[in-house]
Amino acid sequence: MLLVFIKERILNNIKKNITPWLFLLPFLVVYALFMIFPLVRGIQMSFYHKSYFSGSKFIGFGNYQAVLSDPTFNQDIFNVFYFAVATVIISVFLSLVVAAIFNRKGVTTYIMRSFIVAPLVLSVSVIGVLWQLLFTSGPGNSLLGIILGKDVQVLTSPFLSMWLIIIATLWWTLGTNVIIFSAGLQSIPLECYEAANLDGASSVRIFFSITLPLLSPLIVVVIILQTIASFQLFGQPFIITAGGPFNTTATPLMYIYGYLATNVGFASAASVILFFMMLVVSFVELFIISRGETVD
Amino acid sequence: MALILSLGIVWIIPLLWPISTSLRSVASFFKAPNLFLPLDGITSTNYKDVVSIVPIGRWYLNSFLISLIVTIVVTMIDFLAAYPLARIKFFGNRIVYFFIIAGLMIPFTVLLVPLYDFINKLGLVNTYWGIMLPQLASPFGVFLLRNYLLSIPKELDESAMIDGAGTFRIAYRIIFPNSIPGIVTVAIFTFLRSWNNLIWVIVATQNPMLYTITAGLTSITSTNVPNYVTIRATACIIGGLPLYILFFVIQKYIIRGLSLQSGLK
Repeated sequence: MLLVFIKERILNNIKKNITPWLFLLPFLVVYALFMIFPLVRGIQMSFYHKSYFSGSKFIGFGNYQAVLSDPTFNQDIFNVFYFAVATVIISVFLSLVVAAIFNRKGVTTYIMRSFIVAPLVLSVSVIGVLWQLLFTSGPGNSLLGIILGKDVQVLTSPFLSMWLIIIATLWWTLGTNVIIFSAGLQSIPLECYEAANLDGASSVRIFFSITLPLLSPLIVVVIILQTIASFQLFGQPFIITAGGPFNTTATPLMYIYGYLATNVGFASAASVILFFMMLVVSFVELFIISRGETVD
Repeated sequence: MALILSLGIVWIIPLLWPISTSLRSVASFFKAPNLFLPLDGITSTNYKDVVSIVPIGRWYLNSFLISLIVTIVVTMIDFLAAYPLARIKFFGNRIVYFFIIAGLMIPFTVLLVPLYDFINKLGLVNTYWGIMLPQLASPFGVFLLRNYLLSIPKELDESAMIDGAGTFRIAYRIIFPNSIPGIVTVAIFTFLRSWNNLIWVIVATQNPMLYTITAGLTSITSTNVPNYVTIRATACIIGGLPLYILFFVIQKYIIRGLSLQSGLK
């Protein structure tokens, strides 16, 4: 009798611990096959040179040396840094301002905010084709020419091409950050503002002493997400400028894409370098931001 | 208020030009290429031409089927994984959750080369399988759904358990109906991400008949298409406008998804 009872308890216990894994199984299989395995395999491949004649050969850090000494890759890294710094700063600042301006009720406000947010559902191809057409066959150059007071051809100027890509990206993705900050603003209790008003604080003072500190965890999230997305820049330059003029808008991901079919080891090494850089930059950002907070 | 209006209007202006161009004849376009509104008459020729010049219908169908299948599979397996992580105490819960969340740190960039190598070895380059399979792993969906499931009151499971319902029954009868908003959010994000995936589609196939609308749009160039500007603007509108309009319907879910993603409730 007791034995049966114990046996049942053990069986029950096993069953209780196996059922959750049955639920997790399909996801874990897909996750292992298409994320973990490729990740490990990619790092492994980056240490090999693969050719059709001699097969795979271990060459240590050979691919890394080759990638890092290629001036084209270094130019691409510089380009993407430039792009990331510009987009992260402008996007965080602008989306905070927009979210603050639009932080009120009303149908018009809601509709106008929707117009700013809506482009985020469009594909990078639509964004790319749209802005590329505007500045090749459309009114882009002449409109900008009127504003600047001289003739411009945006897509032949390295500086303006990069800024076209930055602006197209902001037009596309600003809404994401606006939504996050808007939700953040709405979660700040009204009492905070009422108390500050009673103390006679100005609205600028309120923004810097109440709104900004309370939003700071969200600002960290937005900065990190925006940085990671920026480093993987591909579609916009691929479509708008094809990396030109003179490789000034090409990115590491375009570089990897270029070597994908011809030299896997080389392309893998470039991906690992890019991944590593993204990790380092994210951690540096986290470190700087968290230190800034403790000093305050 | 004036500021709000002008910001909103600035944001729609870039869209007006391709819409206007797609509605104008080639001749009138070249007379005045800069019009933001089709003031010199509207024609639907471009829309008829684009269908005969590029397989845009096929691209649309591909996009729709690929995104739909990816969405159904991802939402299902992500819900199944999120359920025990959020609702059951079992050995290894925290470790496996951490293992899955670590996946959020893996950018697609680093997977691109080995994934191409992988499907190449499996002989899946230039197939729908090759395009779809690597899109099925989405730790983001598990993360989002787990957070959503945590907000459902524990008493629901407990009372069901007292009534004698097993784990599967609880998942299906209690948790699933209560997490529909979270599931819809994950489904919308997965669908959009799959629909908008450019780099993987052009890596996994070189066959234009397998292209999605997102990949197909980039293949329309001045060298392979007559009346390139009007045709490309028209294809751009066909590819973008339906989603743009859909946004206004599903806006609520997108806002919820982004708030959940950034850690807000």
